[in-house]
Formats: sequence, C-alpha cells, structure tokens
Amino acid sequence: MSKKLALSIEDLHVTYQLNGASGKNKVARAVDGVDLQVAVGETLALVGESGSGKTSMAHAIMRLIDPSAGKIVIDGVDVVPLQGKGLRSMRRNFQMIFQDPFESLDPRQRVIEAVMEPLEIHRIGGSESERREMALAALAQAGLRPAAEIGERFTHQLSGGQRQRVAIASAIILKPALIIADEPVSMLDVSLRAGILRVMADLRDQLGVSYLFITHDLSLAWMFADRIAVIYLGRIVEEASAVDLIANPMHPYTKALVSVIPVPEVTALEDRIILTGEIPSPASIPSGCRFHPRCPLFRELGEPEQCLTQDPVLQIQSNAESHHVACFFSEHNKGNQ
Amino acid sequence: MSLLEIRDLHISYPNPKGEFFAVDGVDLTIEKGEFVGLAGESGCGKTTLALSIPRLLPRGSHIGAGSIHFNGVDTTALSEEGMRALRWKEISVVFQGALNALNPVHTIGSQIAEPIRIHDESVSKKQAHDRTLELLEAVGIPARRFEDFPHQFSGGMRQRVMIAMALSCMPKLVIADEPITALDVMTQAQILDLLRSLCDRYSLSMLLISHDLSVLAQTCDRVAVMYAGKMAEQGPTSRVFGNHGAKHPYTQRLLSAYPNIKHERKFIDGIPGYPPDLSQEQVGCRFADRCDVALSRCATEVPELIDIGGGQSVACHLASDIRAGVQ
Repeated sequence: MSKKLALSIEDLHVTYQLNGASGKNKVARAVDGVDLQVAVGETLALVGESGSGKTSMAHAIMRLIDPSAGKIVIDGVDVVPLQGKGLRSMRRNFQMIFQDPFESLDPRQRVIEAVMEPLEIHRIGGSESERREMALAALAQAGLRPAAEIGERFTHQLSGGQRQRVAIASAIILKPALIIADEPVSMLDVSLRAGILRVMADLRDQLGVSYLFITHDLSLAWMFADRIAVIYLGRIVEEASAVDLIANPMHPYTKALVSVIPVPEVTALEDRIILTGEIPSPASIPSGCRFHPRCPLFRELGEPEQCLTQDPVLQIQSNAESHHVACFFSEHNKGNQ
Repeated sequence: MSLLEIRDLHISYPNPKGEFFAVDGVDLTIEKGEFVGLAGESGCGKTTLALSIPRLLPRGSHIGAGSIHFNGVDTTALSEEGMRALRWKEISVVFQGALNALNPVHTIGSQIAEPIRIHDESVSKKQAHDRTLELLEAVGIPARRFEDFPHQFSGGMRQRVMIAMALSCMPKLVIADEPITALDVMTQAQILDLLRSLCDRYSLSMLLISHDLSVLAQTCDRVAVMYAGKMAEQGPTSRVFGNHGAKHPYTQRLLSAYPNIKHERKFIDGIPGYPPDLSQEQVGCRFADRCDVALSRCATEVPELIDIGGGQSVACHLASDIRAGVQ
C-alpha cells in the first residue's frame, strides 16, 4: 500500500430486519459486501439511484446505524467495534454534510453557536474566545464573509446556500480526515451549486480534505470527483477514474446511466438506453447477477446461464488502469474471449 | 389561433412588505400539440404563471393586468363556474408531490376513475372502469394494479398515476409542475419519454415546468426561461440549445452551471449574487446587477422581449443591439 488512506471499507454489510405484514422475518440487504477506499486528499463519488444502498453506506460509516459485518477503517482505526466514549472521540475524524440544509440546522441557534458546538463537544480550544476565533475562521473558509456579521444571525435567517456553507464550516472546524457529503447541492438552485462545490474543492486543495461524495447525479460526480463508484442494489458494479468511467463505461448498468445523463444541448435521443422497471427491493435480491432482470446485455446475449447462477465480483479490467467492473460480459471480456 | 395565449400578465401576492409581484408582464403562447418547457430558478414566477392558467393560484393572489386566452376565450373574465368547466376537462395539472396529491385510503383505480364521472355525469361506472384501464395502459401501469393503494407504488409509478389522472378527461392542455424533480435519473428519463409520447399520441399540448434546463433540452419543442417575474428568453429548443445558442446572458450563465459530459471536463460556473426582491419596484433590467456584460442603459431601461428571428425572442438590450446591427 503506497497511498495513505482516509477511508478503507472492507466487505461491508448493512441489513435491516423487516417486520411488516408483507415482509415477515425478511431481511433487506441494503449494503451487500462493499469494498471501497478513499486516499487522503482524494474525492470518491458514490453514485446510485434511490434504493441502491448509498445512504445506508453513509449512515454506516457515520456509525448512525450498525453494520452487520465488515470493517470501516478511518484514518487507520476500525470504527465498527467502537462504542460510547471511544466512538465519540473518534467522531471528530469524520464529519457529514447532509442534503437538506433546512433540516440539519437548529433555527433557534445563532450561526456562530452552531459552528462552535462541535468544538465544545470535543473540548477543543482553550477558551470561549479561542473557539469563537476558530469558528469565525471556519465561516470565512466556507465563504461566509463578513464572518463576524453572519455569525450573529440566526440560522433561519439564511438562504439555502448560506446554510449549506454553515454546515460545511461545522464539518471542517474539527479538521476531520474524511467528510461524507450526501447530495450536498441537490436541494439548491443551479446558480448556487458552483459556489458550494468551489468551497468544497478549495478545502480539498488547501487542507487536503478527503471526500466521499454521495450523489445520484453522474455528471456532477464526473465534474467534482477523482474517482466514481457506481452502486446497484447494495453492491459496487463499476469503479474507475471519473473521466474514464464516463468516457468508457463497461458495466451495462453504468452504460445505461451514462446514456441518460441530461446535457444542456440538443442530443440524439436514439442513443439513450432506457432501462425498464425499477431497482428491486433489497429484501429480494435477484439470483446470480443482481442486475440481470433489467440488463439489456443479458437479453442481447440470449440470457447466458452464468448471469442467472453466478454472482459476478468486481474485477480489474486488464486493458484499463484501475477500472473495475462486476460483469461477466463487459466489453473487455467480450473482446478477449 | 393558438391554444393558449398569455399576454402581458401581471400577478401579485400580498406579503408583509406590501405586495410581491411574482409575474410582472409576461407573454407565453402554446400551440396545439406543442410541448413547451418553462424553466427558471426558485422564485422566478414559473409556477405562479403556470397555475394562473387553470386559475389554481393561492388565496390572496391577484391578476392585476393582462389576459389568458384559452381556445379563444379570455379566462381571466370567466366566473368561477365557467372556470370549473375548463379545469380538468380542458386544462389539467400534474402536481409536484405525487405522494401528497394521492389519497392514501383509495385504490389508484378508483382515484383515476373518479374525475371521469365527476366531470361527465353521463359516463357509467363500467365506462369509467374501462377508460381507467385504458389510461393505466397508456401510462405503463399493469392493469392488475388497479386495486392497489398509493403506498404500494414507487415514486415513479405514483407519478404515472398522477399523469393518468391528468389525462382522465382528455384535456387539450396538460401542465406538469416539476413532475420529475424527486425522481432518479433513469425514472426521470422514463417519465419524460412517457410525457413526450402521450403528447404525440393524443395531440396534447404540454407545459412542462422545471428548474432543470438540461432536462428540457431533450424533451421540449420550445423552451421559455423566466427570471425574476419576467420572461428572459424563449425559442425553439433546437435554436436555444443548438448551434444558434441562447442569447440572454442569464440563459447563457444558467447553461454553463451544468456539467456537460459531451465536452471537456471543467468546473461549473455559478451566478454570483441573488435575484432582486420582487416586493420592491424594479428599474431597468432585473438581471443587470448579476450580469457581466451589462451596459449603462441596463440599469435604467427595461429591455422588451424582442423577436430576433427563427421564433426566438430575447429580453436583453445587447440582443436587440445585435439585431439592429444586422439589419
């Protein structure tokens, strides 16, 4: 291992017990054996549809839910066995930015108090005035200037974009090794998105912050991340550098997703691959390759037995550096067999 | 005659500071069978404009001036009763939150059948049932799901139910207010394709409202972009998103706020600043403060929406100068 890792996930599983009338004693496997690594200073985008398991993964990493198996190593420490005090003190190392800045902040709190709170919890900063200074610096870093003036406002007086900047300031003030950003701009107007992402990119460049950037938006992932991992029904189906994944998608699912990315220009609609149906329930994951019921390639190849019976693992493609695909018949395989 | 012709429409709401001028002198035309996209960011007035057509504006809102001609009739002059005859039968709406708009205790079949019989008393139960099955087929829901309840449907399927309901009385115009906003990319593509095909199949006119310009580029015949209560630009999709290009600086800036995977990877641009406060009186071009190519006259003179040829019109002093220079 040459690269220092901010996050290393090994064979992570998250399951939910279903007790509803329709799902008695059923188990939903929301995350079903995921390996992922984020190097220090790197941004990995985790891209998937709703029901893909991407939010369960974020919550497991944040230890908001307990994984059923696997390791989550953050800055060299496996956080899965940690409980109570040990977990609390480790928490300063990984912070989360949530999707909805209207729900993640207390409207009765002043901005400066919201940003100082993590310092108080972790007993950082010798005095109140020292903490205040640190909070003002974090606000300025998040692009809220003049920080002293904005710090005195109540969070409910801020716009959506400003609130998301407060959330960023609260996340960076502890100097975490990893920030998990869960759809950080999807609730914001298009004209405001660049400002928030620019602040996040500056923090990456200046402070070496590592991001796990969770989104359903492939084009945003392409623009912002170094690498992209595509998750489908609890499993990573493809992982590559952002540019390579979009230019040369190899998994049939990724291919379809890339083909329907809206672009702000007139394009040929015939090239789109629109999958039928929807992502199945994680309580009834299809046998063999979990994507086979919706896979255009599976049908095109005359429904090969292998796809029905064997579960493809994420494998490196020899013709492309660090491009991993979980498909028996990805373009490369077809070309060489 | 166009199916819909909105002229110089003004709509305001009372607010603590006095009055909020949400729509301030807007024109919009929709032809029969035409698929029009209406874009703009939060607060630009696009939903207010759209909901004024079936007159579903919130209480207190006020149409100050202008006209809305639907099929030749000025609906602003119609009584509530006259309007009720148009609503749903001639003009229907697909609302944004499909989960909230459906009744959780009724089957989706009965909810689609209900408006059919309410709006046409001569329709028998059997006929309404048959018509519902036909609609389910048209929107891609298997007939066996007739007796299912809304909670048994995914977000995308619920949106299909909403579309079936909007089509139940065979309207001439369907207004879809952000119908795909909360959906996944693949489901978005499915729903947009469905809307497009229904538009063609039933010769419907469609007004699709979206904050996402890139979504409209692939679906609509024509696109209209609003900014701060005014129409900034409108024109055929093939021109605005094609080689000819958008001519209003706001549309141009908005387009560069999207990543474009067909081009070189680069960081998206934002638009610094905020839209003006529409409870204040506006002078000059409303985008002038945020515009990096503004002229001195932009601060004082309101730019008119000017036809620049090819069906495209732009409300920008620069665009009118370009046109004057050419002639």
